[in-house]
Amino acid sequence: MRLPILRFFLIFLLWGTSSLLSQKGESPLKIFGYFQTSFQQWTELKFKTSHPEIFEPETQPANNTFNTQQLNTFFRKDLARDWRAFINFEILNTFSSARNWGSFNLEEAWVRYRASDQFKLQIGLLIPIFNNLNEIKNRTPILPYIVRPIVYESSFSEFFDPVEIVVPNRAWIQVSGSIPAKYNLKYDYAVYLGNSPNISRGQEEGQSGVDTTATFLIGGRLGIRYKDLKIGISATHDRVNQEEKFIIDGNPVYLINFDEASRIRLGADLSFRIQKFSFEGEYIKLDHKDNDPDIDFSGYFIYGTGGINITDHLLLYASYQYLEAKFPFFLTDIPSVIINTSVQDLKLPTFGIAYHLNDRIVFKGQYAKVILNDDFPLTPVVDEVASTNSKFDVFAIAVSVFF
Amino acid sequence: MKILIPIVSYFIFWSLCSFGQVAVIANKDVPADTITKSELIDMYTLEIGLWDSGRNIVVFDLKPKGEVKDTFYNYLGKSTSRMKSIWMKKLLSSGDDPPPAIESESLMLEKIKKTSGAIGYISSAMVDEEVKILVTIPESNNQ
Repeated sequence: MRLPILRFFLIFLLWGTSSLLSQKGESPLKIFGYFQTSFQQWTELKFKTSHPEIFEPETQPANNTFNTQQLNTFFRKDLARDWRAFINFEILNTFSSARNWGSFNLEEAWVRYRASDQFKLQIGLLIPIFNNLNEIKNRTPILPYIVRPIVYESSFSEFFDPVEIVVPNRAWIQVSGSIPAKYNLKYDYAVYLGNSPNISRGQEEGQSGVDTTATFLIGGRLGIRYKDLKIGISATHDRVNQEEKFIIDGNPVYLINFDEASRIRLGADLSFRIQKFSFEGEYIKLDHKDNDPDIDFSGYFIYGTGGINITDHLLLYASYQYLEAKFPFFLTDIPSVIINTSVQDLKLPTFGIAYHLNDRIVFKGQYAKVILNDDFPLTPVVDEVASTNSKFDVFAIAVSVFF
Repeated sequence: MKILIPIVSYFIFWSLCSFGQVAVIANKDVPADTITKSELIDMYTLEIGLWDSGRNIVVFDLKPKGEVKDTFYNYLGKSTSRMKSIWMKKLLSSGDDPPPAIESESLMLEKIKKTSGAIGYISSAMVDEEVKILVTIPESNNQ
């Protein structure tokens, strides 16, 4: 009795599979990718402080390094006329598992249904549309930068928290499209859903890579385009769990206990091109809403880049970035702990050059000055503000190769 | 003989006028008889991928540099390097292939005839009745 059922099952399976494999509109698997290799020279860190009794001098000697900043490999297959699968693997910082260098990440794995140019549905791991740069931030062949606007610089994610916090990096369902209107205008929209940032990291938390809460990331972008002018606003909302505690006399004192506190990102983007000149700029504000008035976790980031195509192959650009972050810091005036809000700002003027040797190879050069200030109010212990200031320069050259 | 001279002169004059004009052509099954510049730009920048009938738009580009290609891209208001940058962005963000580059105008004409939903461009003098002309770009666009 079992054998006929098995035969039926196998016939059904083979028929179903062959039917899927021979879908109209199916295309062969396409594999492509790119990498960017750079040489960077970082000058010695210059550190100053108003209160050397509080802050030990930070030192960072000059260093230079070659580095394969990034390598991405894409797999694309059209499964049927309106269905496409897309996978993106990303390797950062000369990845080596044996040497514990860099990282290897699954960046995207989605399937897209295109009902029309006005309605596209993506399901799977994807980079959501937020402002102008987010969905293309790691596409090095089409960006002139070696070091991108700082909150988008993936290769800094190992040590620079804002890369994972300021912009939404992942979503799981996205609906998007472009709606034509009068006077050659186009209205762009995107709406997406994803996990909260509270993702388990290791076996002690159970299955890794999964959301530990019952909350979601929700976000979207609305934009208008007219020829080479593009304007948009973006927003996201999710909920954050965060806990900071001090131990006093053996007892934990919970100074920050965000229990699914509301986190909101707001963004605005503007880009345009007039003949040989181009401009792109963005503003992002990040805020945590919590019932505790003493806790302020907020910040904003702004950048603007102006470029000029000297020739069709040669671009010169200048850019300015500013990041300001407020976060709590703790003064220990034992037996009590005082929470104040420190303000950190990062200023980053930079300019660079990008030369397209051909369709596949881009040579890049960039100089950046990094200026970091921190202010720590010391009230009520003393009526002063302790500050630190750090500066260094970065010189970099790179080649970006598309294959 | 007296009748022939004006007739021959007319045809020479007509062919000289056609020379330098570029025709945007499409397969006969394309559900459009004309196309605006804005729509043409959207098709070549891969902003739109479907005809109104729901059929895929299949875009072809010419490989060889020359007057026809220059006239076409001047009409679009974009340089070839700018277009390549746009196509690269589309490929890397959503996997859309750039338009295939066809080796010659005669091959382009054959491709358009045989490919459903296809659109491309060649010099007006080479167009035959087996394809549709959606728009003719005058020579004055080549500056």
